[in-house]
Amino acid sequence: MSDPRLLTAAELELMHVLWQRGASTVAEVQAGLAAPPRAYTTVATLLKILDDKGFAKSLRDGRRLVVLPVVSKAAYEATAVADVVQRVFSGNAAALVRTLAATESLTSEERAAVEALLKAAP
Amino acid sequence: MVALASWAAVRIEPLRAAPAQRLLLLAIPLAMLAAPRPAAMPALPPAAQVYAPSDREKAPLALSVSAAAPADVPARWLLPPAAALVALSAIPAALALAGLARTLRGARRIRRIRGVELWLAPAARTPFAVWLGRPIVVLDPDTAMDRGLAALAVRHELQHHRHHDPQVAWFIWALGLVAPAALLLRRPFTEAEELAVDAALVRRGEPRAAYAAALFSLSTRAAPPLPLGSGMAAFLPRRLTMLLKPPAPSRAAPFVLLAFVLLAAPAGWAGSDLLADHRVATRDFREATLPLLQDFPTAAHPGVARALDQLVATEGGRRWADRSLTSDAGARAYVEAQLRAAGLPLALAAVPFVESGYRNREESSLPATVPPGQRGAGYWMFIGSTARAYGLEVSPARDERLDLGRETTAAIALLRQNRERYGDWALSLAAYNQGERAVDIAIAAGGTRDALALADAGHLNDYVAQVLAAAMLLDDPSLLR
Repeated sequence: MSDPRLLTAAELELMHVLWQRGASTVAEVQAGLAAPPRAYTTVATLLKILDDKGFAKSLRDGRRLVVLPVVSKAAYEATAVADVVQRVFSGNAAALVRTLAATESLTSEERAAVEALLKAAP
Repeated sequence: MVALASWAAVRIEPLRAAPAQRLLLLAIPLAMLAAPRPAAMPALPPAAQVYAPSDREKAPLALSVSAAAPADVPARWLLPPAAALVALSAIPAALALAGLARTLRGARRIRRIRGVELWLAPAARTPFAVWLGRPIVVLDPDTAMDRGLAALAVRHELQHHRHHDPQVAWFIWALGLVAPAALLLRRPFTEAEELAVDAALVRRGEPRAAYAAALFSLSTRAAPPLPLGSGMAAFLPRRLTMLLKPPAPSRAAPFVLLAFVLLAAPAGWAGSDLLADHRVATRDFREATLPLLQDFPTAAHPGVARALDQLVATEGGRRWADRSLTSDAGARAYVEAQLRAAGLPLALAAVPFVESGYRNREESSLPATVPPGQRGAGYWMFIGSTARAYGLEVSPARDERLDLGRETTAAIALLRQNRERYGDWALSLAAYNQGERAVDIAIAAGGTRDALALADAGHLNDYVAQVLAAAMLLDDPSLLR
């Protein structure tokens, strides 16, 4: 099995739909995807993978099968960033922030917000 | 004059230049027919009285040129230069034909959409439309691999056929044989044709940004020019500008169009409906691109989910999948065409993907750990005994499993026979891999005919799940991103 903590691009697309819509049927997730469209079977299978990895849960609602997200967007973002820090920046989070500040064009408001967040962090 | 006017038309009214150019084009042969002969030119004496032509000089084209020669110059002096001129005029056309033949070498027809044939040409670098007595859309292997891009390319080239652009290309080349300057028309005509097709597709609902991205993606391939076809990747900067920032209608437009109409008045009989759409309906195109996964269950199955996860989300699976997707697009297109022709589900094209990774493998290339009786070969990896049972020769001198056509025919016969026996594609796939005996035993032991459930219970291996997962990836290669 693949790394259960991280998602492929296609799986992440589905999670974005679930985070936005909440509990959804396979057809609703399929309809919520941006182009290019994906086959119904493929969406159903990807949702099953998300269930297996613990990111989503399939529940029967009467005759319908609905899927709901069980990992929040913020929690996944934290996991993904921690993975980048570990793999790319050898565990040095400051290096990530330095790179972000150097390569991304942050507005002064965004910079102030980042500083406030860092100060407020435990 | 016409070339200059055609060029000016594209600059002034890019989106409306194509019909005006065609009217101008018709003016050329009309002008040639109407051109007055020199009044002082007396009739030539019968050729036999002047000289006895050699066999080579008897070519009808050369003699027709000599008929226009002034009578005070002996025809014998004019004939060789005239013949040489005609021969020189023919060189570009001959080179164009040779280029087209090279591009179409090994091309196969993979589909017919009402009147238009869809070909896959292994030697082509970009898609194009061509007229060879019938309208043809040619796809290159790279484009054919990308389902979204291929669909867009086909829509684009079909639009060229609706506009009759490939026939116009032939007309210009034919005109170039008698008036070489006509070849100067190719460039402004092609540019106007591309812009007209882009505009028509956007009018028919093609999203501008996605269409522009597809053009850009095609332009990154180094491709030779297409002298006789209408290609998709030419004149990129101008077309992207038109797509993403369409020009406001020019105030000069009515005057320019009026001028064209007056210039081309003698050709007015051609009518104004040059861009009429009367060949391929959108519905036909949709039918031609039915989903790959048709005829298979739509519910997610844990085994298929595991196989897909293994294929697209693990390092080894991704490496295999990436290599297999790009190894032999021509073979895959051929297999899909044969499955379609046989009326079998396109998802079965995933079988050679799982078996060989779409590589034509020799038996000797397999690891030594594979027992002798189970060593397969070719794209479909037939073992020797099965291959012989389906009429293929497998001997030290000749191994027909390596012949894609022969092995595909045998595989289709085997899959069809399995389907008739089990009435179910999943069990048929299991029998393809493990044999009928193993499947019969599994059904008896498991008490069900659900191949995936039999695999879950350990009565069969996970081959069916692997094929279904591979079919999803073939249908949607973006899963590998």
